[in-house]
Amino acid sequence: MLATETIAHNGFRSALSITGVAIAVISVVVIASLGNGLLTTGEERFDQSTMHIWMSGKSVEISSQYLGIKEAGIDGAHELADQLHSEETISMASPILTEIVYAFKEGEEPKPLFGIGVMGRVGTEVHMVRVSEGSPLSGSTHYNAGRYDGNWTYEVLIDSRAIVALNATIGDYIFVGKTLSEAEDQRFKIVGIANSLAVFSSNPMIVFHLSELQDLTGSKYYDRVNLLVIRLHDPAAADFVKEDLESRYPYEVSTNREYLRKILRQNATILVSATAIVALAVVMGMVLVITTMLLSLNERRREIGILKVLGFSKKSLFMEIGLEGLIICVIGGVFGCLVSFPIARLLNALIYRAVGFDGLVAIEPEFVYMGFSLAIIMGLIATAVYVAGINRITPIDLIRGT
Amino acid sequence: MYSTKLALLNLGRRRSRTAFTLSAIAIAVAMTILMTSAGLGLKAGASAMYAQKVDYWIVPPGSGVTDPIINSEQTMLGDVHQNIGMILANPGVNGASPVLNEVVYASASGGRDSVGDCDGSGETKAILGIGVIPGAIDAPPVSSEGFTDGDCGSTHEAVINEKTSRLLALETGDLIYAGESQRSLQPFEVVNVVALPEYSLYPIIVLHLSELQELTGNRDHDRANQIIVSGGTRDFLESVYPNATVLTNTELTAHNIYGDKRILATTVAVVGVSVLICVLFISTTMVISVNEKQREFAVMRAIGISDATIVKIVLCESVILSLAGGIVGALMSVGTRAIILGFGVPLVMPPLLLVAGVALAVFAGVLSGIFPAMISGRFDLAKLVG
Repeated sequence: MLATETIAHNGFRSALSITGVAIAVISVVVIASLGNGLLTTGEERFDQSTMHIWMSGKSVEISSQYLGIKEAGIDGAHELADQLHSEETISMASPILTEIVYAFKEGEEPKPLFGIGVMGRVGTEVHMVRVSEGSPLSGSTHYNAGRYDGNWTYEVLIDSRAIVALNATIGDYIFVGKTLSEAEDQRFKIVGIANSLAVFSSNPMIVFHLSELQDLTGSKYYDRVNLLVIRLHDPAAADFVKEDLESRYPYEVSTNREYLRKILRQNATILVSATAIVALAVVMGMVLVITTMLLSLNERRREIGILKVLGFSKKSLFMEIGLEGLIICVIGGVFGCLVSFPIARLLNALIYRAVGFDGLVAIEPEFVYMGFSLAIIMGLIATAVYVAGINRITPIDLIRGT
Repeated sequence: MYSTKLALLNLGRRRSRTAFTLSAIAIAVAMTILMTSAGLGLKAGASAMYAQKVDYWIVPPGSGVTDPIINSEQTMLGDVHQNIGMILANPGVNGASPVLNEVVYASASGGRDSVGDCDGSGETKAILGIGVIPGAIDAPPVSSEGFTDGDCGSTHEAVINEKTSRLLALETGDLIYAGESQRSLQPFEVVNVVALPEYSLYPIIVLHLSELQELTGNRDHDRANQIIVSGGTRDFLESVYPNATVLTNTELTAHNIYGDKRILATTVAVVGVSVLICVLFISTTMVISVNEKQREFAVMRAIGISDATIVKIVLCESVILSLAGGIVGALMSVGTRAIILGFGVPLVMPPLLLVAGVALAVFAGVLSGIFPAMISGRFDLAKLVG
């Protein structure tokens, strides 16, 4: 077939078009897999977390959720938690405060980390946060019915990532504060290691008694927290309880699924960028292939004209040279599908290093089929253009020299 | 320089092909600039508005921690009133103000409506609070009219933007109630409603710094998120805040890109794909262009023009093409900026970004020029003539 010979003859140029197709295919496969991975991983983590309802403060404008993350808080957290506990459907209601704090061990560089404040017997078996090593936090009387004047325990738990970030471990003392100057006066002892909250964040965390973190950060004046997580006796009742709570309290209430969607919305920029990248790659790949086809067609106008004069039927012409576009796209498609796998593995490694989540780019067979179909579609379009081009070549024009 | 002239002549001869490759590069570059710009805009949020009037930013050390699940939070500086006094005392400084960003609840009525009235104006909404020292620096919103200058006490004055005004149906002279708790909102008088384009993203309320600090529990330790300075020198500012980071506008952009892993990842991905696309397009064009000139190159070599010069000519053409494409792309992105802003997507397009976009194209141009340049050296005169 002349087509294959042409492709081989123009080695470099063909390689370029094939690469163009391959990039388009890879971007489709990888991004689709990433999206799928985000959704499934997200859902899994939420189901694992044994929480069913998430209550948070109002967001600044619903539409702005797509643009960034601005949420007000929940105030009167302790009282609210008590009220919710007394409800029949609710087995546990836990207010959670998340604040960035500076933390450092003596002689080390201060780092900004997430401080998480939780209520209750933090670190024990029955609590949301369980220690894997060391001891739970001592009981705290600091809250003292809202006066915040009880004794401080000055104890914290940290997670494995914080151990690395702070170069500290059980028994060490760290200075913690909302600003560097405050941190110098506030010393806490690390009594245990707990990784139970890894589901909430990919960053290093320090776990405090809620009231102590509120005091540290100025959130005590209105007993403020960012989030209230609720566990139900009957998970199936989640939708019903959510509606009920939303009507009675001036906050946003979400079920697991809704909360996941909220998080995705807040990361919408990445999703939009990813879509844009795919669109760019696909469109450009298509344009590249068509251009190359037209160029090679141009080079061979004389030969095609002669073949037509000699009496080659349209069908034979097509079989000999028309398939050039399709072949390039098929090769590009195969190449792209194959290369997607190592690229996915590379991406997974990078993502893990960057944000601590693992296995996000999960290539399923469907996506590979999708990528390959894209290549075929591109090939068909290229062929159509090529055939149209062939048809337009009339021997008489060539004889006349136009 | 002959190589430049030749390159330009060549490009001019094949106008449609040149135009075509140029547009492809321009599109790739424009997309890269726009996407990075959008990422930056979202990250910068409200602070994007000060960029023109501010020379230096004093920000807390270490990048703020950002997280896909827990919302991104900002780190803080302490003892800001005291330090602002020191900064303003310096004759080289034209103006400076701390800036505090906190989300607060606001409503047009003081009572707590947990369910909300049907017309919506009774319900409390979450809006963005900005605390500044009015009059301390000539940059909006710090320089808004209606504010009492300085930050001495309970003025109970507030400036809101159009979005807030519409959201809560408020005008100059009305009372707005704001606070961290929906049950104890404090009254403020709306002294002005401002309408600036960079403001239009979120509903905003601007208060005196100490009053916003009071509302949000930041008064005790006198905290703010950053300090903006007009005039002054970096050394002086670093001496006032030895533990903080002092940045210029350009450095702030880089700081934002690097600090937020999401933006960084997106930027890297977009840049990577764009460079690849540009390389492919330019290479295709260059290979064909070089192929056409086989005869010319062979003749040139025969008359003694060195291989190096030939390579230079090829590279020149490739670089000029990519440079032109990059510039067109940068212009395109500036042109579409207004349209996209109209859609409500914030864009931060510092000149550095535009330069980076063009550099990206040139980089691709150099890469793609090298291989064809090498091929061009291989033409054998004897084979061609014979």
